[in-house]
Amino acid sequence: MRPESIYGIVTGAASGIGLATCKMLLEAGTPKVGMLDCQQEKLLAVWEELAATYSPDRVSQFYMDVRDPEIVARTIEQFEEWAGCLNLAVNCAGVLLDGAVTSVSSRGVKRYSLEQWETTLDTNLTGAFLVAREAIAAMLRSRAPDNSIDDCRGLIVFISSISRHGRAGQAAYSASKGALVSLAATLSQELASYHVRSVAIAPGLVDTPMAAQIPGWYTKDMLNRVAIKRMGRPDEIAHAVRFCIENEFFNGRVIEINGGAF
Amino acid sequence: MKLIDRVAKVFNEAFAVPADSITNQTVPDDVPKWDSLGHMNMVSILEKEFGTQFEVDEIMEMASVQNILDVLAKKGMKA
Repeated sequence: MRPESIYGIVTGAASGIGLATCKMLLEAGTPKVGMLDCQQEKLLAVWEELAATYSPDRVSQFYMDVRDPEIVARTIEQFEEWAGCLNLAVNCAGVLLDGAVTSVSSRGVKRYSLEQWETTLDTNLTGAFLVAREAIAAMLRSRAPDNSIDDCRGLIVFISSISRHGRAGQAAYSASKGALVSLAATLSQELASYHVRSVAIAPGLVDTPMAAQIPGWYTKDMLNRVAIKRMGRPDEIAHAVRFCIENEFFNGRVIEINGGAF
Repeated sequence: MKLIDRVAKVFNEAFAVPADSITNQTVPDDVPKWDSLGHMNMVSILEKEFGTQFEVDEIMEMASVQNILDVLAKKGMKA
């Protein structure tokens, strides 16, 4: 697929990797980009900036909570109406709610709350599933105007994480990000005959608002395990999204992009 | 002794930095040995200094000296 033939949506588009992905697509000549996020004011502010730079004909914004199946379905229909079709969905929306599953202190045993667990899984995993499900349905009912029948019909990208291997204090986040890799692999097998690919990208520590939540002493420790001793930039992850778009042999697997983290 | 001075004394012991270099604004980037291992060591000395124990959430909250002072204040620690 060429960026110039992409009609794509990006969740979590108001900041971090999602925003960098939208910028990368617009810079690469993508005709229609849908920015989806549940942080309405932030979304509007960054959309205004991109619309002023690249034209509101090329970039639109949609308020959407990925956890709500009806809103997800409706938003993707609205994108299709605006753009004419859909052939890319990049799932960046996510939350990080740190805490040990069970810990002990002088006041007794403390448990990670079910609410925090569900919020994380609902956003990071179920949300990505809902977006992928509806996006795939849209891909199968439409085709980009300049795609021939032999071309790839669509691509689903899941933003996983280096934490998918497990990280103390991040059980819910790690579990959700690990599951996204399995989901990408499964969809690649289910959708191959429809010419739809499904892939995952697993970034290491990236300089985003989410990483800013992590205490500095913990970040320092994580960076000590990175060969090049720095955080990634969101545009470096967006570059990997572009690779996924352009390389049609890449399917069902995960790109690790983390500066050499061991 | 002020609360900040007692915390500075803890930092001196935990990280071998001069106590007078510690201010409310001090963050891990300012203290070379303040990584996750150093943090746990510092918390342990802090617990001894103030005769208390911290919850996991409180330990995670301690992302700067100001955060440490806030946690101590919430536990009713005074100068």
